[in-house]
Amino acid sequence: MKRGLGIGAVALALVAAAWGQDGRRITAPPDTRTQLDLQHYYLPRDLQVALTALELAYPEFLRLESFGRSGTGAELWVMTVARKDGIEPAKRPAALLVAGLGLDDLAATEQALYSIVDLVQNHARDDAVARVLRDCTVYVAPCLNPDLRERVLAAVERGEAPASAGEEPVLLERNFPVRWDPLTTERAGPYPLSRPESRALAEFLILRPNIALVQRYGSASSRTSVDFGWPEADVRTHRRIAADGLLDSVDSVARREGALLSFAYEQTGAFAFELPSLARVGAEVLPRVDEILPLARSAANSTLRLLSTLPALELSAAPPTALDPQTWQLDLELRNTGRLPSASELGVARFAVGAPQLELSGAQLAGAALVRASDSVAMALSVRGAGAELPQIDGGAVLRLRLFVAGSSGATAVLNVRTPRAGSARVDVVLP
Amino acid sequence: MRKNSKRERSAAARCTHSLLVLAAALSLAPAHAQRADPAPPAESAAAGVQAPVRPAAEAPDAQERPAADQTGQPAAPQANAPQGNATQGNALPGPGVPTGPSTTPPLSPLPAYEPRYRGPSEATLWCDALERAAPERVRRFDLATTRDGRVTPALEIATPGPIPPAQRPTVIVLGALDGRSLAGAEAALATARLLAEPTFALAPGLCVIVAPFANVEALDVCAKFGVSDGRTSRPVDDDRDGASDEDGPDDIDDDGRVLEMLIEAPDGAWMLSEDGRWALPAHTGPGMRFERVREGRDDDGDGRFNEDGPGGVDLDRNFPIGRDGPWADPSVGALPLSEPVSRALADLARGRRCFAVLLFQGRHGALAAPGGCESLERWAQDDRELYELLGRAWSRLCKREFAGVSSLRAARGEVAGGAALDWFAASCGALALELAPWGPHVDLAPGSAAQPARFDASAPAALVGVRRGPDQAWERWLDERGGLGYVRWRPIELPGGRRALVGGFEAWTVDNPPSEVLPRSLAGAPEFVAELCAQAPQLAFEGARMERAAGVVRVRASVRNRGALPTGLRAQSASSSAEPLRVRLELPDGARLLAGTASVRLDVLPGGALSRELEWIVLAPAPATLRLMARGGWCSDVVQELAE
Repeated sequence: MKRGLGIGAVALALVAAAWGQDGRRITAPPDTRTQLDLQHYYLPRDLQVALTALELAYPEFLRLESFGRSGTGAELWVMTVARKDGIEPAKRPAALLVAGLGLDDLAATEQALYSIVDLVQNHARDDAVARVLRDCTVYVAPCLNPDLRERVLAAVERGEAPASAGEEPVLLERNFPVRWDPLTTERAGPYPLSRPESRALAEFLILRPNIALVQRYGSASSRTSVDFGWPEADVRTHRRIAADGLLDSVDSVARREGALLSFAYEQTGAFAFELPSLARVGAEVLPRVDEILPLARSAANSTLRLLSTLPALELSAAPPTALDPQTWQLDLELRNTGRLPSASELGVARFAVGAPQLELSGAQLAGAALVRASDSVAMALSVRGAGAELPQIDGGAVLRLRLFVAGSSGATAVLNVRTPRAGSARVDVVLP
Repeated sequence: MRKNSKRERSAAARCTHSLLVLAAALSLAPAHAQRADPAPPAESAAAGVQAPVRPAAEAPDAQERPAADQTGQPAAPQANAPQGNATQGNALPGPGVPTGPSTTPPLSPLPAYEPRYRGPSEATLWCDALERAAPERVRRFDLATTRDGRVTPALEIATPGPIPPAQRPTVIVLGALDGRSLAGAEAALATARLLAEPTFALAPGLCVIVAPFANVEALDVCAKFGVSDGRTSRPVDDDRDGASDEDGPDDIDDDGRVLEMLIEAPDGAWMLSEDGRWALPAHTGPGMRFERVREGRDDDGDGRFNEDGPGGVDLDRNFPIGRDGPWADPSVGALPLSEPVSRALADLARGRRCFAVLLFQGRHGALAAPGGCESLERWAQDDRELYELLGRAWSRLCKREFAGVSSLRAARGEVAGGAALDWFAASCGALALELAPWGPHVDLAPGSAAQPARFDASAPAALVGVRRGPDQAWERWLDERGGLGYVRWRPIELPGGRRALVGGFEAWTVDNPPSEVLPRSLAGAPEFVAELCAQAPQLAFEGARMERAAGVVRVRASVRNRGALPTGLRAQSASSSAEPLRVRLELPDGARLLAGTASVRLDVLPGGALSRELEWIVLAPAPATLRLMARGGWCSDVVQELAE
């Protein structure tokens, strides 16, 4: 007996030891299919080659496409990272990672590139990665300003200061349509989205209502928060997530008119964060080449923690209760297992996010109610046809629903809940 | 990416065929004949060069030459002249940007302009005819193509000269960008006709672009029905129910007219006047409140009426300044400048040295200055005197009473966020004005007590015993017509028992005058534009001289604005494309500047004003030839050579 217990303990210890402190199986190698060197900076054309090589190496996870062109005609690339089997990526909760807007995040391109590599190489040995790839979609735009990158890297190679090569008459980070003010803001452009890069990104973002989260990379540490009159709940969510992930939330970085994160939040209601991955680099535009990889690894860890906060739905049902031979009561629990709500309050207020929709097939929906957590009182929900509109669900919260359905004994009622930014969930209930 | 229109392709073909003939006939520099690239040509032979002035010690007569000599040869183009693409400075040919004089030989006299209403298609044909009749002065081009494939026609009018029109200070005249003011479109057409007249002396340093029907989609509707909501044809889900354009206006009472409805609503924003004739903004106090909508049924059964009619985006709310987001009102567009026409206008204005932008539209009958939102209203105060001057000119030429100049917000009686006027002023530094050919006091009988042409939004909402609304500004005019054009509110019952009133203004009343009144409403409008062009600022050097003492030359000069208008706006904007006025001293090889700066910035020069005297000290071997160049603001460049 003692020997058995001892062997068991050893086995458990071995299993525990097999998991690294970051949740990865430390004895399982990464799924490396292509070599990517991160000890140098990538010129835009080399970046394209690297991205293409990744896409070819990991076809089950990656799709590379251009979403526009820069001022000189260079392609703007975005990599869609999502396991391709399963729910269509456009219908999963999504995050958008953007790097390389300006001088202050020029070196973040390699970090964004590494984030892609980190996800696809660890799909089999990291449960958090596997979950992100299975349930979410990650759009990575590693270089939004290839023209700037080309100029600055060339200047550095010639021994010149990067700042002079990085001068731009219009800054991308002032060119988004949020509090854009030509009277007081310099280099904001003749009008918002006057630069083709900012316009392309804005259109990309608007056309993807499933993007719940936007992250860019930055070099500054937190600044004093500015009160823009945003909903309190959203501000709390931003700060809570930011604090856990060592990020800057949008309210602390939204200090300038025309900024990307402010636009992402105020126009689309997406939660927006800046990863101060270059903060310790200080005033240098480009860290030393031997710093690229460690910075990228650190950034990737933070990014993965952020991606893990995306909302996700689980739907479960208790055994149905017969009210009469043809009518049943179904008690359901709809859980948001992510830390972010299914929509921000501002997104709802600005009609950027629709309400979750419940749909029933296989039976007839006679009525629906929301069971209050506080007192278990059922409050009727409006039903339209075979469906009902549900309220948004906070991160980690549970909605208890009570449905009244008409159906024959033995029929299978299929219940689907769909949301623009928290994906969908389904449960089948057999009417006994 | 927009494809070149058939018109552009055929125009390009004609140009290639007739290039040499035209160049010989007009004595143009070869670079000006290129049509494909609107980038500034290489430095050509001296243009805008004033006759060399000898140093004071040698000059028998140091008086400057009269202004007329300065206009014969405008200044040489600059390497950093405004580019065609406003965003990146790339010299990409923009859609429909004209690149040179027409090569079409004249076929007929200028088409007459008749003051009557017409639709966009007929206006386009008229513009084509104008070009055919005066190809040396008029170029017809396509400003933009709408989402449904309609072309927005425009005319470029310029006196032939060595400086390409695209490089001249430009006046942009827009007709009815609001999509409602058909009279404004006609005013723009009439203006084009006047400026294209060979006997009209449009200064060779100026270019005028006229887009008479700037909002072809809405104006098409307006021409057919006498009224429109001013919106483009892009489907917009105004009520956010997942369907677009499913609940528009209807003739609910089958009287052959679609008027307005006042629907009883406890939180409505409207009330009736005491006599029941007028709808006015709701005030505190007893009285039924109403919601005001177009006449019609609740086609989509959502309890609201006509909240999602056909179209679209309001072009005059699609500009970036003071614009609310689509969450507040979908008619502003999903993004600023989301519409092809508004974007094309913005790129055109930013790609030019924009002197003035004149919007013929509105129902206030007066001149309105920038200030659709509070921030722009404050910003525009710096130039109040200039706007007053022009407001008086407008009133004089149109023979209307001058009652001061209002901001756009005050003129319209409501906040005008996203207005094009504000953006043209703030982002282009242009003299931007809204000129309304039509208003409540335009057609009053002589001796009639004039009504204020506009509703003052800042006025107290309720005066003791008197409650007035913007509709009542038209009371006198309607009374003089026996009430014709206005239907008194009469009750109607809506499905579900809701009570409402139907009535209000008929077509061809407030937005556009009845056809018989159109000529009177247009009178003076083209002349205002002509006078503005004639008063455009013009720079000239005065007292330019050089004096040598051994190897050192002392150069002095002042700059005078010989025009009646200033050289720019006083109000400054951080992101404006307007160049400040600068004087630059160009040195020959071997010369060195010992004192002074090569480029000196000057403040805005009022009309007729002389700048301070500028001075430089140059080390230059004798004999030296120096060049002074004045550039910026709303002016053509002017160059003066100083030679020993």
